[in-house]
Amino acid sequence: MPQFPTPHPARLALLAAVLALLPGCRPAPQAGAARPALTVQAARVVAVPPGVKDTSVFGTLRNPGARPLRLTGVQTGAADHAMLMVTRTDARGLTGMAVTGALTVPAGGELVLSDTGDHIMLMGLRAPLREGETVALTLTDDAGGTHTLQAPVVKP
Amino acid sequence: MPPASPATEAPGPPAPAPPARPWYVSAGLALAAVALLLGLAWGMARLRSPYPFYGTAYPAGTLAAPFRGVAVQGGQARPFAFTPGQGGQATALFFGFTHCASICPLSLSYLNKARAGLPPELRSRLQIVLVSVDPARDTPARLNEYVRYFGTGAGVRIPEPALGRVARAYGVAYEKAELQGAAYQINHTTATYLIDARGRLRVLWDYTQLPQVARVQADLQHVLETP
Ligand SMILES: [Cu+2]
Repeated sequence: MPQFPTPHPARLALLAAVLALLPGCRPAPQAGAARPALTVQAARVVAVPPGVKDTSVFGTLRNPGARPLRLTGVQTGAADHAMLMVTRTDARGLTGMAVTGALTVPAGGELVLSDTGDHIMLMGLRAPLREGETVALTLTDDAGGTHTLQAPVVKP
Repeated sequence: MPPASPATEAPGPPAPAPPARPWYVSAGLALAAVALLLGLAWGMARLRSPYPFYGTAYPAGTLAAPFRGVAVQGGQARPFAFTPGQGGQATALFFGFTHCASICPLSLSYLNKARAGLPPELRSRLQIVLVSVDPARDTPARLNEYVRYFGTGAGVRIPEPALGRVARAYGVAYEKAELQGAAYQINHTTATYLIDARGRLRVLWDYTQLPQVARVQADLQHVLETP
């Protein structure tokens, strides 16, 4: 009987727990009304074998605010470099990714970080990732706000 | 003495009309005729409009190119000769590299999931093969660790310039892309090629199709059942 992959309940539960615990985001230290926080759904780091030092972070970023949120940087203690990336396919069909200066979460909208599109890349992992462990990442926006997200390591 | 057969029995009262064919024999014959017709119609239809693959089908009879490289087998790096269809095996083949942070691990993962959904007797007749487009950094051991982390299969290192020839034979392209302040990446085409047990290229899936695991699985099943 064919079995179709279904998300493992334990994994979903873990994900839900992690999401529930998400500290969310700290508004930028700025004058005026507090800005609505950026929220993150289904954040995950792709689990890779111990010898592999590069991986990606996916998830859905939601911006409930009335203004677009331009993310211009990302940092993590888990890797030497964390980079904002775009995926592109050229006219010859070559697909690859390139570093981008900014990823924008539209006002009242979302930005999906995925394997086929925009995502965060971690290069030079400092220690092998274990499935289920959580990686903290901090996104910076162009107004100086920081947004911390917790992404569990999930085997795709 | 054996009884005479009715045919030689003469003269005598007119033999009763041969009993009508029992109804079930007639029904059986009718059914057989219908089945034959349906079978013919199905055969014609198959010839005219081939199986509706989810991926992109190859013209019938497209031969897959053989290649040689090195892969870990039985715990050791050994020469790996890919002869399409050898041993009655079908092969899902794709080209990638282990420093690839997003597309390659997910390709392996999706292909393994599609294979895992097949009936057991078909599952064992499909191998997954990754050929590295980054032979400068991908050792057979590293490729093996990578492939086995996501399931089972072979990770093959083919040195240049042979790699270039193999890639061209499959319509694969790749080129180095520098990343600012970090190790290089490789831009590459992202198709997975399905080669049947007779060594024919049957269908390819673009990477963006692989997440539809059930549909990939249906293509796999069809090719495994009709080599
Ligand atoms: Cu890749």
